Amino acid sequence: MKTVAVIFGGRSVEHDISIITGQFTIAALKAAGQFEVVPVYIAKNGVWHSDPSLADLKTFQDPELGERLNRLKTPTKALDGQFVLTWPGILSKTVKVDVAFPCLHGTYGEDGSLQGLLRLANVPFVGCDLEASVVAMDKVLTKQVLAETGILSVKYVWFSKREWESSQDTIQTSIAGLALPWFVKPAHLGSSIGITRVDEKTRLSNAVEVAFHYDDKVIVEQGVKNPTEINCAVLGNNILRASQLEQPLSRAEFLSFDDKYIGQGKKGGSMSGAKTSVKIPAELESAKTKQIQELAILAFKAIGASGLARFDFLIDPKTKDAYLNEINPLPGSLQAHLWKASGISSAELAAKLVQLAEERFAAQQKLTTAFDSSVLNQSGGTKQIAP
Amino acid sequence: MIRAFLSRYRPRYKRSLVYMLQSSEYNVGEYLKWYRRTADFTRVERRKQLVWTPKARLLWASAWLLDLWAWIFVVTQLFLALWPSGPESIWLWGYPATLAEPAASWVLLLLTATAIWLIPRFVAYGLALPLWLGRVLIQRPREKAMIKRAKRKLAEHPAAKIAIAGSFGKTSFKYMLATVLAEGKRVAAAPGNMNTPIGISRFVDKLTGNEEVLIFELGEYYPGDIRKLSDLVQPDVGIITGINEAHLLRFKTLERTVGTIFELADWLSAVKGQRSPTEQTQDKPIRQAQGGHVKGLVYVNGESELARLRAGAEHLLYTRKGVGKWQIKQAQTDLAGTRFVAQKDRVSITAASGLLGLHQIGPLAACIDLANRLDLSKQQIEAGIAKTKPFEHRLEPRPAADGVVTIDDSYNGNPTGVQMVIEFLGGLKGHRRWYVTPGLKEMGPSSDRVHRNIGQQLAAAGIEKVVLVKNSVTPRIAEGLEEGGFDGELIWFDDALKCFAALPNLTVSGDVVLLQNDWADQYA
Repeated sequence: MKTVAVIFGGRSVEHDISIITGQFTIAALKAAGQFEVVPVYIAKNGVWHSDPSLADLKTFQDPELGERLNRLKTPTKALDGQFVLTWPGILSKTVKVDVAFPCLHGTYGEDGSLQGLLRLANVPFVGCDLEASVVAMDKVLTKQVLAETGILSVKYVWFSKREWESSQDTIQTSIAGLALPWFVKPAHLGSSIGITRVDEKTRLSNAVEVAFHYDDKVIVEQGVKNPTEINCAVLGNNILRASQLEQPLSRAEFLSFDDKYIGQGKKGGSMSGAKTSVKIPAELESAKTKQIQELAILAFKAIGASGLARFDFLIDPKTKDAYLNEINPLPGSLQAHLWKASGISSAELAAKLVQLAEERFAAQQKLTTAFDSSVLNQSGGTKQIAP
Repeated sequence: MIRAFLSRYRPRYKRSLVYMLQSSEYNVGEYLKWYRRTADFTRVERRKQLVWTPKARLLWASAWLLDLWAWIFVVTQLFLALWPSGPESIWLWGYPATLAEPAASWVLLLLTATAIWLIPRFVAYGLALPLWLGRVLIQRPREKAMIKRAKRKLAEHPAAKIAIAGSFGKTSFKYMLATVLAEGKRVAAAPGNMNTPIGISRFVDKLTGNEEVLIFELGEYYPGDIRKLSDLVQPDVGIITGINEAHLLRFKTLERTVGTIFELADWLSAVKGQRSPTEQTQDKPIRQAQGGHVKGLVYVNGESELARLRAGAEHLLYTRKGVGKWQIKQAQTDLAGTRFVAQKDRVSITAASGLLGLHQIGPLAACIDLANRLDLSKQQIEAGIAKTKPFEHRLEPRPAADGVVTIDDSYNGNPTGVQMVIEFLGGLKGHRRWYVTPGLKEMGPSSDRVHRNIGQQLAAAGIEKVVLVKNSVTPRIAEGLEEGGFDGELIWFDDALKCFAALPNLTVSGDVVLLQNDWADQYA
């Protein structure tokens, strides 16, 4: 039986959402009945914990969680060409991880950081690889890559904190070129954290300040009036499959964090409240549905994604144009409700993702990463300048 | 094995005993049966948790006291036996001192080991003893008085009294009939499964005397039970919902089961008085709601072979085709419910019930006939049937937002009911169908045959996914599946809780999941 380490939590504002995704994934892998599942929880302070009790959501609902974690034996991690957890002590225990299943959202997890670490550890891991994660997690970079494919995205202006502080007037002038309303967003965050809708120009500075609280890169997007929101997930490495389309039914101006994860929402999957506020399949003509699914697959390929990703579109009610608004390289609870509606159970989804991770890893292993050269022998001498 | 042995010495062992007493509603017999069957007490509280009622607290404290007292006794005895200058003979432990070494040491060791082995058993049985004594000395005399009072009250009560007996389907029939008749009569039906003399007496105690129809469920545990209950209830109408192997463990033979259940029909024929069978079965509406007008009527489920074979010519057989002169037409069923037309002469009743399955039509037809005899109008009967909904845990559909429909049939643990449910599931088209079960309990010598049949029926119905919980009976279902040429997927789980946790991760939108029967902790 393969050992799969489900990594969740993390140093991110989306820490709690990650716990939900992690627990969901653990349950799905267990239901698949093919894996030994090891929960690996990264606490908010960055400490890695692993214990069977962490495979239960109730553990994280315990107000005494901090004390419980302190009582747990913390495993040491070997990441030098393998991923091995060791619990020290008289009855020490060692587990070699066959596949890592990152369930971290946001910074240090979904943005390529963890993917880089797992690459170094030479262990197959589920979901998008480093490059795709970096591109997908940066809203500006995403739009720049998409521009090459012809996929539409809304007009935007982006700037760094330093640029805002030094050239605020110039940036404001650029932003004024966008039609209201504007959406001011931290460039690297998901789950609607730090996002403000701006309907009056005078509110811009406050909104930018909020966004800079979470990120040092901010994007201001031109809003689409009364858009139809549509989400589509894509699964695969080389052979890609688009899910049924989901239509969030937001009553608010945009889906806030609470809308998504506490009240209703589009992202939470089976463990959150995302049950009554979405329509699956979305109410679209079949041609439009097909177009969105094709655009999602095109975008998946464009950013070099693998495993799973979700693509959020906005459809302009007047022009019927579909704008790709956001890419989520690790959607909450693996977007299982969309796959369930598409005929793939959560257990099948989790098992498929593990299989895709192994396939990608096997392909990567075939690449040459060593090259014999004489450069070291030749270095250390005085550089000779050709006459 | 070592874990099982040590589990009786864990502090939680005493809590487990109290939990099981509570879980079996302080039924000492059931508790002791569970205790004798159980080897490992590590995880007893699986489905539920002990509720800390005053009674539970008292028992828990008593268990600790008994345990403590037993240990003090053993340690004291051992100490006295080993004390060189101590008294030589203190009850049992003094005996080894009279022997020569090494026999003395061995006997002492054996005595101590036996005592330690006995302590947890002493606690378990010690807890049951006061409960048993309390039942015999206090509860039973009080109950006898209560039953006597109830019998007197019922004898004077003017309502039509309807008694329901059978191996299965009693509670469902009771709710169905009460729902339909309530459209035109003041109906009282004993709630839940109050089907014992004391349960019925408690129900009778609360009657106002203003009721027009009383409905009772008669529980059968031993031969003679139904006759005793009939003596108490003094029914005007009897309904026999069917007979099968359920509770065969208690009755030993099917003949005894049939005989016990038909005690209701026998009682009615013995007391029916002047009216001839022909008069009784004439389908004339009865103008008054008094019991005298329907006295002696016995409805028998014609779809139950054992009941049908035992039924007499004077009994009214009800089936999905009709009852008496009522004929059923245009019957159909799906996840939304069951619809049909009942026709008699020029009267036509269009029935649309929320109950699932064509097997519901027979009992509904009987309800129609009885309602008609009790003078309810066509509109009242139709409205009553429209109000019949699936009962909790009995073929109760629960659609979820993820597009999966779970049908909770966890209270259905009888082979006939299971057969009907598989028939219903097999008839559902356009869905991937799951059948989840830990099997049936208390099937006695018929267990192997019953479970093999279930497997064969599932295979014949073309069910796509069968999920079995590992225990002593489910391998027979697997054998039945193989014998029936099952070409779906068979999935095993070690226990029901793991199964329930995994199911939401295994299903997809459009799936129909039937949860068939559930075993309480004392059977798990």
